[in-house]
Amino acid sequence: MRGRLALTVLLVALMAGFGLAVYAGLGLVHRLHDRGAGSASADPAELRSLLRLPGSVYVASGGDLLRVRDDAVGTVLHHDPARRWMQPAVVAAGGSLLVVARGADSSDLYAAGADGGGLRRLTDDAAAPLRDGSLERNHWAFHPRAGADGRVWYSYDAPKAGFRVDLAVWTRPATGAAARWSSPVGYTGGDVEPLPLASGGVVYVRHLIDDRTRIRSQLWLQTGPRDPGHALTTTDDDCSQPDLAPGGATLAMVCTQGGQTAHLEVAGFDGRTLGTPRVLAAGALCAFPTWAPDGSGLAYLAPAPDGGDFTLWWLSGAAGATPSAPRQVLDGAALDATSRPAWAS
Amino acid sequence: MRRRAATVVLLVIGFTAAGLAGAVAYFLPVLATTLGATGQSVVGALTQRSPSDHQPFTVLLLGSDDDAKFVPGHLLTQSMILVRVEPSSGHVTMLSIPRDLYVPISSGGTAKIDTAYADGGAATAIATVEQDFNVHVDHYVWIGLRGLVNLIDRLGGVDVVTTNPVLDDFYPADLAGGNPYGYQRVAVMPGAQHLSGLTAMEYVRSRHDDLREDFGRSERQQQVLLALRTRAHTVGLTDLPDIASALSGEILTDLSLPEVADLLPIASGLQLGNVEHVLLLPPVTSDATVDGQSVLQPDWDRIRERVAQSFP
Repeated sequence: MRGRLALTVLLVALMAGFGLAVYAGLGLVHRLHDRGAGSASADPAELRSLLRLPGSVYVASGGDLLRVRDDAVGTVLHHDPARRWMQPAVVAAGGSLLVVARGADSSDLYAAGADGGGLRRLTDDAAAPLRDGSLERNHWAFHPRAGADGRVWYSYDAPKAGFRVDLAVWTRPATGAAARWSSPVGYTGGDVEPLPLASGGVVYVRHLIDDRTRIRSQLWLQTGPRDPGHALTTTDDDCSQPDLAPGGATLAMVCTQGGQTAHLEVAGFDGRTLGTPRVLAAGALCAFPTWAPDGSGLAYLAPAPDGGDFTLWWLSGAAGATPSAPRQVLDGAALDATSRPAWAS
Repeated sequence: MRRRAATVVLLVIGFTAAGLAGAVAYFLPVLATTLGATGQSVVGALTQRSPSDHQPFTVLLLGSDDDAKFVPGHLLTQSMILVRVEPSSGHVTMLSIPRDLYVPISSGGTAKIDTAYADGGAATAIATVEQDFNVHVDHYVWIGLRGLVNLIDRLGGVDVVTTNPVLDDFYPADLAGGNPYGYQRVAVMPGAQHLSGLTAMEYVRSRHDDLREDFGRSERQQQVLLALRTRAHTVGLTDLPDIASALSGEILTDLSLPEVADLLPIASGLQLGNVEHVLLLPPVTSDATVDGQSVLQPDWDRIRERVAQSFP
């Protein structure tokens, strides 16, 4: 009798345990699915390099600045509550870096060594709120690039007026005051992503409203601060994120034709005009093509094949007639797709 | 022998019941949210076509700020999108109705259309859209600000090609938990990227630095809605309780649970190239000031002609 009672109690306990196991099992399946559906870790220790690229490639992830060198991924700059690192750019073939530190209401440009050491702030864009709580005295600085002459090019939200906050292309010499180069179309977000040319001019991305009231981006070439400049692409092409191959004869860019896909394209560049573009990757969400220092191909950002987070891809022979198929460089990365990879030789 | 068989049956029943109890406990949030959110009655609603009829049907999507600045039950609709779905062809039309459109409200008087929901809930919002635009609305879905942020986060974010830098020095800091009348600065960078719930909300909600004002915002809202649909492909059965918890109290619809289930395969089969976007840009609307407030005056002849083409 006592044995039967014990057996019954044991069976009831097993049934209860089974019920709990079903509950926990469903939760486990959910967590595993969650991990597979695009919540890849940005912890460099968990990142795997699938492909060895020459030199060092800097990418931003979760507010940290990472460096991919040989097969290893390491953190160069860690974020903190006040600063998230993004948009790196190499200076002098990679001897040092420019990088953006983004805070809640402002961002600043910094110079740093190739390993993230020797941080030096170049701008001072944070300001206290006004008496009514408004934050308009703060500024944004984004998209730094180093010119061959040592000048730093970037997009900066000044001048501002009321609700109008548009980025314009600015440049600052190693010593002396910063100067504005472009006059953005008001209330469009403005001019971004300056790409300094060896000639002293600059290619950048201009945002404007077209004749059908659509907002579009155009690559724009300006040869001097007072030059009105001219368009390199049409508004229908809706192109942005330019990068010039070493030698300056081929330009890579991303074009959307106003849609929700972002094609990777390249076109010849003679210093004044662009040739007929060639589409290298279509039907995907490509971002920030960046030429290898030796011009052998392009690195760019796009989602992982399973629809996961943005990661780093490599396209060999992009400037030639028959580029190879794109190859994924990093596994397990969740990269910031608004930060161009910076490539040091 | 018979006794042993009875014992085995009892054991099977016991373990099955225990397993079911575990599953029911896991999916309880789904049950609670769906029972609370679906099947809302709409007083005065006309005959409704169901997604399962395979006939074209319309859904009015309503989005409201529901932070501490607003009185629950009297929320303005910051976003109104009328969607027409043709299940047979997969063609979808999305008409964004500007929140400042100055229209006759079905419950009386003339006001901005965003007040219709505050005046009389979904029934008034639907009746106003039906009477003013000469369309029939089959169903509605309302979602609160926090609900959309939570939903996007629970889906792991959305991939969007943002069209331009979206900058705003006077964006309401009403989701941060502090002063709901305070400000924060917004800067959403342009290009293909992965947006979290909060950044997606900043992208679709900001309007101060947009030459096209509410029209620009409407276009961005349509982009994120379609990106959300793409992301929904990744949702599995076991993810539903998490999503249901995120949406608890933040979503309302007159669609029944079976109708929502019928809608899911239609939504997942949707092709982006099959989506027609309609914005009521000038000259079908024009800026005006009425009683000291900025409004959009409709040119009803032009609007109804345009709407009749896409919502026959």
